[in-house]
Amino acid sequence: MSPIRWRVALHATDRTGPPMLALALLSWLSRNRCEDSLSIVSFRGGELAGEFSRFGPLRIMLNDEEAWDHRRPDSPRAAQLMADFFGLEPADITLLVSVSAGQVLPYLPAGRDCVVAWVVEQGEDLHWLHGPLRVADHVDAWIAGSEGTREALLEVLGDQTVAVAAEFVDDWSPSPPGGTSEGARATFRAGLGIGADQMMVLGAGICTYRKAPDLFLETVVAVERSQPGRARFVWLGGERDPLFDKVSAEIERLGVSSMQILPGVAELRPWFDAADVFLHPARLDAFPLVCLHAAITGTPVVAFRGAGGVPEMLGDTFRGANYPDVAGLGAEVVGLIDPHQRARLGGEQQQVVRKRFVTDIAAPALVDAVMVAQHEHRLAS
Amino acid sequence: MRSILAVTAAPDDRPSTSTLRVIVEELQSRPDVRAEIWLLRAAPEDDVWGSPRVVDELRTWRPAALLESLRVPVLPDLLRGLRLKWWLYQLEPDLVILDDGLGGRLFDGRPFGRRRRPVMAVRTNPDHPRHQTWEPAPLNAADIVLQLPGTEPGPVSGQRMDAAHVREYPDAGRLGRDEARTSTRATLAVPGDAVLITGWGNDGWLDGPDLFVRGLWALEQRHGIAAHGLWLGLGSDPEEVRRLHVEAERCGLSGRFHQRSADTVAARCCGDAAFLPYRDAGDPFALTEAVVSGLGIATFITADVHDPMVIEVPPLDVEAAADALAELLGRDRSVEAERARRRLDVGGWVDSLLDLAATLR
Repeated sequence: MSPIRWRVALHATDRTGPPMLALALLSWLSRNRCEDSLSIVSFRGGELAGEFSRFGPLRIMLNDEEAWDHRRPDSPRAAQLMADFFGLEPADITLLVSVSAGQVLPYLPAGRDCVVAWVVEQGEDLHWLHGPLRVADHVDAWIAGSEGTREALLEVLGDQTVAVAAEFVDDWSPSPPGGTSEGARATFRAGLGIGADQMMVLGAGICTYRKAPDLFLETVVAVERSQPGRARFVWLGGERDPLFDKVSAEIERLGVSSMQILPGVAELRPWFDAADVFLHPARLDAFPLVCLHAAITGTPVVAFRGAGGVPEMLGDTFRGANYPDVAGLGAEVVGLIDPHQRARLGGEQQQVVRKRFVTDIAAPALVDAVMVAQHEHRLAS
Repeated sequence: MRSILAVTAAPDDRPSTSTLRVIVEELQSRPDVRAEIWLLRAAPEDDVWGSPRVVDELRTWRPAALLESLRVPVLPDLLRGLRLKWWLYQLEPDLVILDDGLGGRLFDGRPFGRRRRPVMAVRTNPDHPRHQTWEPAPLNAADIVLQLPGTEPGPVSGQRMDAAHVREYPDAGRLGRDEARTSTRATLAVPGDAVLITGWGNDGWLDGPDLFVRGLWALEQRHGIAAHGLWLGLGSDPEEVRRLHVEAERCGLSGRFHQRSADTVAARCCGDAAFLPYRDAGDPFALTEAVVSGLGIATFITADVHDPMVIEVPPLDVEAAADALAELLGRDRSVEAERARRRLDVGGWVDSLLDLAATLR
């Protein structure tokens, strides 16, 4: 097995799904393919830049908050970017982790590398394929992060070969040494004003319509109508996004005392440990890693069917309602007030995720798929 | 010929003054009605009422003032009282409307002239008039209480009539008729023969167009009514419109969600019912105008329009909104339009007031 020079491309080094995926992959590559070399290139920066640079040289194209219009790029700046990246480390494989990572492609030097897109988006997010960047024209091989994403991709690409390599997260369980005891859990919940007899329902994500904190609030209202005071709800994240303040104001206007909306946190693990249910009311989410994290912690996940990849992720253990049945989603949450139901469902979902979507199982499959793609690309060229 | 007298403290800039003016103008426009407005005190800076009688001018009426200057006792007040009675005798009102309940002492509760005591109507008002030196008439002496929002008159022995949103809605009745609605739909290129739910507003969050879309979904899922939806507004926000179309498609409403920029009364009224999923109160006039056209409305916030055609459901509850829409769609629009006209449009409202006054006489 000859060493491979990997260039992992990202849209940003922030704490969103694709960069988290890329980190898990880089971590696995560094542990299991020591002879390979790794480099990272990202269109924008973010709070995880330090973590990425642990695995190899990290190059970030734009400055913080720098405006960029792909339809009308600033010519001198574009030329400067191309000059800056002309001497980039050579690569055998450029792996785009998400289609939006394709934003880096116009500024990378032409080479003999095989460009592989690991597509982890659906819906509007696929617009990069045919937008002004025409990412589809620069990709040599396609891998989808789930079956659902593969179908969505084929609808856009037409007649193409698209492999599937599942998205994954590191296995968190069992609890880390000195991890969450019942006492620590109770203390954590008490800090949020959640009583021992109340069910804690957690949601997390950026505050956009797609992630739907507004539907989270609607579900809260629906649950409160049928089971007042039985559950407390916390949404984490998205404080820089448009819906954060709007949903906050709505909570206040309606006097919904059972819901809090809080800024994002660096470490979600204690929140999953404290929560009884993870509610994910996204309007569209291809294969939400946050649900993998919740399930792997044993926190049962409730989500919409027909709104992305959660049903595919959890298979027979999926629990939820058809989009946009908020009342139905609320009823599913209410159905988990019984702690035995929660424990059973959480255990079942944990088993499903552990079997298929943890790094040690899914990362080798992804690397195999990339190798096959590279081999076919070599033969073709 | 019926005679109506409206008495108000003084013209001022309170919103309710315009409502009273609309009522008096409607009365004055009728050939079988003689209507007068009397002011308790003159307000020369205000030209709302033309040339009304001013009760306070009795105080400086020259003959009485002359006798007063000659220090003649009693006679000046007697003359003033006779003059007031002469004014009343000339008009012989069948119905007296006391704005703010002020001016009741002019009538002293006694019959006058050759006819019976008039029907006394008191219009309650949450705002205080500029001059507060008069004592409002006790409401339990009123035969009719014309109630404005924000007032709770307490025990009332007479009949109540809601006077909150009485005004002229010149277009609503016409635009609510079937032929006008069909024509409007053709102009807007929305289906003429389908059940159509309208909604309007320019704020993508506060006006809740996303909830509107899901309301359509619930109407189909829970009641089997595959309605089309027409949202009016958001013309300056193409990205929001695009998002709503994506949302509609996601909800299985492909081809059944329409957005048009023109937010006109004709467009609002061309639906079979309206869903206004507001997070903030909308324009009560637009809402009332739609009701006068016969359009039933389901909403989260009524904007103080309390009418049988407006069903308020719990905030964010699209299922309850769908239930309300299904109920509204089952009503006879032309019947509801006529009833709404008599409640809200000044013409119909005055008809109701005169009918009630005649009954009480």
